[in-house]
Amino acid sequence: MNSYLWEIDTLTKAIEKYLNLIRKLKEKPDVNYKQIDNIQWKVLDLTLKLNEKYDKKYREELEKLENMDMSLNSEQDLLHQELFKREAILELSRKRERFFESLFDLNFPEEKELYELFDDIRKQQTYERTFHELDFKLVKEQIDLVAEKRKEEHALNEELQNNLETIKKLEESIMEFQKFNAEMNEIFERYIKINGIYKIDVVAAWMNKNTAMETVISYYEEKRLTGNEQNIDDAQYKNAMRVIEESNELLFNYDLAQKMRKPVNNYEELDKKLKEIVEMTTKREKEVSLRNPNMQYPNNISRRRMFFMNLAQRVEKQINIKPTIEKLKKRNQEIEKKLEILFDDVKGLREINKIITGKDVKPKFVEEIELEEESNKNNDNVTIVEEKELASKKDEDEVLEVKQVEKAKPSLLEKLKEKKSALINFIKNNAAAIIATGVLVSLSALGSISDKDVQLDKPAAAVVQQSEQKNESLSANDLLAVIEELEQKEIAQTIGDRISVNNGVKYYTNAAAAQLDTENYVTGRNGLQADKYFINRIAIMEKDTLGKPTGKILAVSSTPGVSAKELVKTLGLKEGQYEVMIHIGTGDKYGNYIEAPINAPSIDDRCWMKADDPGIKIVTPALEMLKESGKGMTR
Amino acid sequence: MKININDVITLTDNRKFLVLAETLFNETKYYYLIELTEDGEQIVDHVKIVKELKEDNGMKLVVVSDPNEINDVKDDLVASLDKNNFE
Repeated sequence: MNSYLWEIDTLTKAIEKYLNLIRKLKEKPDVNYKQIDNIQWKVLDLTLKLNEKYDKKYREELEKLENMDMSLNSEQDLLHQELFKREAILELSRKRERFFESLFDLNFPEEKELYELFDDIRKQQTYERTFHELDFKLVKEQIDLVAEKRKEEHALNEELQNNLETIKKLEESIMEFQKFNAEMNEIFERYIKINGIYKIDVVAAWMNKNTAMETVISYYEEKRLTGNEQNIDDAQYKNAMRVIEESNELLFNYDLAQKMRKPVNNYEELDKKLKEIVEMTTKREKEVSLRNPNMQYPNNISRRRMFFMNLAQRVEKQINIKPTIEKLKKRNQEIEKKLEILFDDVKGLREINKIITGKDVKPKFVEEIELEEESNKNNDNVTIVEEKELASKKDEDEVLEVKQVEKAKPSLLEKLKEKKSALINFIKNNAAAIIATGVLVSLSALGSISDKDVQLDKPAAAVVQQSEQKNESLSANDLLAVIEELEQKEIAQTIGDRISVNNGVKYYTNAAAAQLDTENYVTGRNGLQADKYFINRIAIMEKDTLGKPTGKILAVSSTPGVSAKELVKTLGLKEGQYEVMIHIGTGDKYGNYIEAPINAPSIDDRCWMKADDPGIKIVTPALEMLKESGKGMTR
Repeated sequence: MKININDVITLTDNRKFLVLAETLFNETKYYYLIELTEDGEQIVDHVKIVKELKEDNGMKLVVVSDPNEINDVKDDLVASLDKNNFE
């Protein structure tokens, strides 16, 4: 940078000197144009070099300004800083544009010639300056726009707040009709009492009015007939007129009281009533004022009208509260929508930069906010996952209900002695990782107890992998054994299966009752105790087309080794058309299976049960049992 | 009903477990169990760490599934199992 400055300074001075030389040469009587031409060439050369250096200096300064540290933390601050930056860049470009103009004095033809030679360069510089000017304007426009929008935002917020306050006040002033009407009735009654309306004798008032009317009629009749005003009693006439007026007022008040006491059921009816009262009082006021043109205002009659008008306004106000609240709420919704999109037209720094530089660079503070949001999001995810894990673990927490505690047999303890070290190693190395999953872990599956090639120091995952690899090398016989084992886990429904019956399993006196769930007994509560039994009969029961049990026996077998599946197959039944019931027996006194006779009770007979009762589990499948007992039945 | 080391626990669903080790942590008893066959004669090779929950009408064992909780009791259970001569 400093080197540029030195070079620029030196070159500028050199050019100035050459230009001065040209001026001096031109002043001589015999001008040496060749020499001038040579100097012009030199100036041209130096000016090009100067331009090159100046351009480098300009670019450097420009870059410095473009990369100005904008570490402020709000969009608005950044926009102002951006404006300052754009102004500095614009000024820089203007300075460069003016540089050539200041270099040559256009009053000298030689210098003008030189100046014109740089026309293209100057045009380019002007073009660049124009661009920077546009950038500056763009930022300034945004700042002005933001200021304008801020004013609008302030006004909208103020309106929103005022509306909210008005809504609150209006909501507080809402009165239940019954309460409001009771207050009104109280006011009406007080009015009636104060003005003595309750004492009015309406019949007397009518009669007085009629008598006075007759007097007035006689007065006019006499006047018409005699034409002599001297004989007419004016005092009597005036008194009659007064009586008429007083009677009219009494009768009006009587009617007014009737109107006031008219019962109403809602605000609309009350509003109508009061409007009618206001109309009555206004009409009455007009009548009186016509008869008394010199009447002074305000007077009792005009005050009466005003009184009822005020009451009518109170009712109207109550009626209008809800629509007004709705209107204000609607307006607030509009304001909120307006506020939401108010600054949408304003270009943020990122957009401005995109327009100016063509690059989409996020301002530093935006990046920081995004990073923070991302981090929060991740934390939230972690929390959610953890919560989910905890919740699922909580759900999985297995509860073991202890029924009995007894001392272990020495033979069993002897077996455990051999496994002690493996058990210690297992809990040391794998407990937290494997047991924590809540899944029962098979030690032998992990190869951690009996196998000599156990590698307890390996992480759990590695051990599991090893176990999986081991599973892959299962022989066909092993697979058959696995299948057999899986089959055994199915519902006990083969004659000869040794099963365990838990407490709570329902049992019945016959297969039909078992299917229909009638006359049931419960293991552990009634006669039958939870124990191990044999299946000695199977009954296939019918289900109707809707899948409901019918209680009809389709087939019964007591042949050892025969499974319900085989029976069903023989009957040609499909899934959903049948149900399997089993009959159990205790076997002989040594616990061996006894084949039940056909059509006769067996000595070990117990009861019928549903084959799919969850309290029934296979202890030893029929296949094994029958092999041992030599029956040799096939399934 | 008190549970001691080398006791066989029978659950209400008839599963059986042998108590390999025990420890007391935060006033709660923890056990290291191994499953047995239903007749209680053979080892099934399934292990569990459980904690004791005393209730008014009996006792319940809850399988511990929190790794941190397991880490808290693991060493004491190892020590207890080490002392167990299965006699």
